[in-house]
Amino acid sequence: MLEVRNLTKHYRRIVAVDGISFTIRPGEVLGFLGPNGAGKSTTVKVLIGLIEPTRGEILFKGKDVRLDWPGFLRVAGYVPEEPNLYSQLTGREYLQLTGRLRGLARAALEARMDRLLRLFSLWEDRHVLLSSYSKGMRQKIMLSAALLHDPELLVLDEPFSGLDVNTALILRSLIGALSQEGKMIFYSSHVLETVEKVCTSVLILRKGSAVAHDRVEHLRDLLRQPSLEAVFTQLTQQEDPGRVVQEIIAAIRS
Amino acid sequence: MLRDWLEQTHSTGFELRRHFLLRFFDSELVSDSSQAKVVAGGALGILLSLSLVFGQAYYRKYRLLLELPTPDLYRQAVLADVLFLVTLTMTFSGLFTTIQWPALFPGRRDYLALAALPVRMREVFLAKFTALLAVTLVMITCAALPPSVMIPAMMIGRYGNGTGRHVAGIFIASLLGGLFVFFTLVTLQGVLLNVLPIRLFPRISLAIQGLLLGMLLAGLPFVFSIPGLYARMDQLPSWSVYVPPLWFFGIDQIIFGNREPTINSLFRIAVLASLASAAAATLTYVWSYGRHRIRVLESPSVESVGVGRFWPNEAGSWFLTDPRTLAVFAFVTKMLGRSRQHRLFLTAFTALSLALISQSFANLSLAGGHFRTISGSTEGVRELVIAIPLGFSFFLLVGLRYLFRLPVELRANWLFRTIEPGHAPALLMGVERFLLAWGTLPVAVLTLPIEISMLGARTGLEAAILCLLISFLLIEVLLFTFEKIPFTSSYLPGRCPLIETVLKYSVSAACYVSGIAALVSFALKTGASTLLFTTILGVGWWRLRRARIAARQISRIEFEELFEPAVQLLGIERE
Repeated sequence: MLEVRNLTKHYRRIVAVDGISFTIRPGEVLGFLGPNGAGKSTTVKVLIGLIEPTRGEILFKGKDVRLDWPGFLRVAGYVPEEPNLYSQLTGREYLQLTGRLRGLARAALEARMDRLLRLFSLWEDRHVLLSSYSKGMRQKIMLSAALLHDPELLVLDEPFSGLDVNTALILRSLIGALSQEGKMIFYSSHVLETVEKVCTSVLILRKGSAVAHDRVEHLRDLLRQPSLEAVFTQLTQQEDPGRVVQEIIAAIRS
Repeated sequence: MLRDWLEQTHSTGFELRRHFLLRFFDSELVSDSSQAKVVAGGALGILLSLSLVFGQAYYRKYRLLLELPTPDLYRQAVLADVLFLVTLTMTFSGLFTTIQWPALFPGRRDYLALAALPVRMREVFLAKFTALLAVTLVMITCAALPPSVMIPAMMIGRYGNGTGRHVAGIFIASLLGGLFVFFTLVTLQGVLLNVLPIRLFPRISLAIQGLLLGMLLAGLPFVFSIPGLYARMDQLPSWSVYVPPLWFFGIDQIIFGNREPTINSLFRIAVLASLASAAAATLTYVWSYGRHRIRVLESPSVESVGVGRFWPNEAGSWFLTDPRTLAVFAFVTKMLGRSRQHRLFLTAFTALSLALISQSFANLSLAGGHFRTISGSTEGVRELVIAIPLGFSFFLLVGLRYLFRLPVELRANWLFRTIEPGHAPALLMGVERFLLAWGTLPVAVLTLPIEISMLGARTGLEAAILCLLISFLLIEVLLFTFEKIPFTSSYLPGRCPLIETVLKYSVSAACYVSGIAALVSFALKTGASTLLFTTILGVGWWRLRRARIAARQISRIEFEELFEPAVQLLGIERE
């Protein structure tokens, strides 16, 4: 079980994340939602150890991860929002680099890598430099790299970005299958329809604070809204889209 | 007023030129754009200091020459200095154009970025060409004007007349010489761009850029030795018509009033060469305008890596058992092999070492202006032969350490950041193994035949082993404070003042190469001294390595270069 308690991150005087807490049990998929600047990416970066939290605890299987970061990262897989990859490596070389850095033995690594490349339809392009890959292909490489070591926890930040319809359907099913296998999945996204379909619960952030954390159907019932999108709009106090559209049209005509 | 005018929107051509001019000095290597100013300021400071030193030396030289009873030596020295200044400007222009090689023509990025804008391709080409020409003109003028004014001013005296003509002559000759080099290189790239298959162009273009850079840097010591050729300036050999700097030297001499037949023919060749190179560069631009964009945009952009290129990776897996160490080793090998800028820097470092060594050989064989046969029996030659592996390994290892600081796709370093906790020693071991495998062993193997042929089989082998041990020691020194995975950390070129860096490396190179070469030469005199020296080096290396590895156990890998601690504490940063 992954437990985040009172997680806070300050950048000098700016509060990016303000005391959020959540739990992901084995088999659960937590949808992490919020408008731009709400603190989603900061939370993800803290979770994966890219930045230090100002306060708060992250417990994995009851143990503070800071006491054994390498141990925690060994069982975590991460798909970042931006597909920042070494574009001078080929797709296969990137997976090889990731696998080796995770300490996978050669035989196991080669076999897994090649199977994943075939399954994600990247086999033909495995010796092509990543700079020549399309956005969707790069995303598939990121997903393969995150799954390569069979992680217990998956941290996915906009994993559907750039994927074609077919791969998106596969990934959606894969998330479901992995959760049934007892994996913990932290899923950050802006695509509310997908979140509604794949997540067991959601946490909605607004200005660094959690404004809701519950199962999707509970939230819908509680706020008497027909969809997650409506729940999200209500909780995050989004501006009226119609008014903003009118203002944009006025701005370009000025 | 000017600022207000510049902030206004102007014609398409103006805006395109403004864009190209501002983007000429962009670099993806530097993480903080203000750092470029710091380095440029440092470089200017060094240039000014050098100008003062050179100026003083020239002043003294001409005072002495003007005191001689006959003007012959003075006249010969003037001719040699004029040729030197012209050649120096041409070399500078060549270096500048070579460094700007990827930006000489509009590229794929320009086409894509400007595709959606209402800009004609003709305007893009014209703007790029004129912006490029403007920058080159400014650079050549900056390089040629100060010495063209200063040196003739120092030549004034009882044998020196016509200073105004000298100033004009040197400046025009240098300017035209510099432009000739620039236009020739633009033409060369233009022809390659249109003739080669688009798929092959990047590789061949990079190889040519590296070759040019290597040749120009390796040739620098010879350029600086031109003033020493004064004795040969009176009678130009018949092959001088094949030496471009001499063509432009002819321009200076014609302006100065020399009407000798050889000078006349050199002058004619210079004028023709200038016009022909400018016309050829313009023609290749026009040729490219017609077809280059279509060729670039319609060619498949897929770049594959041949399976045959995996051998370094496979070779690494034979002797590296830890997958993390192997990962870093393979990563560094691939990045260094594929990153255009890093390869170019490495070429520059290799060229510098080549220049240093070839200059030393030239000094030995050309002593007193006459060629003589070099034999391994003299102490000087012995030291020089030992200096070859030392010089190459010094520049290669120091160069690699510098290159490792330059990032490649910095934002992709999250991969290493998330893996690093707890694995720093294994990851850093990959860096050490890389330096051992690529920075020392190839140098030892490639220079061994020279050592054996010049020093004999036994002494040559002993020298090679000692030099190898010394390069191992150098690796330890270089890695002692280096806690980075190559290419994954941000880079602050202005972290340390440029003058300090240049001085540090120049003094280190001189001490390391010449000082240690003398020491090794001394150690090789008897079997006992060789054994003693080998033991001292071996033990020293082993102890230093143990100390470094012990320090590494508690260290964390650095992913961001920071300003020096004192600067951080004061809360001020160099701008």
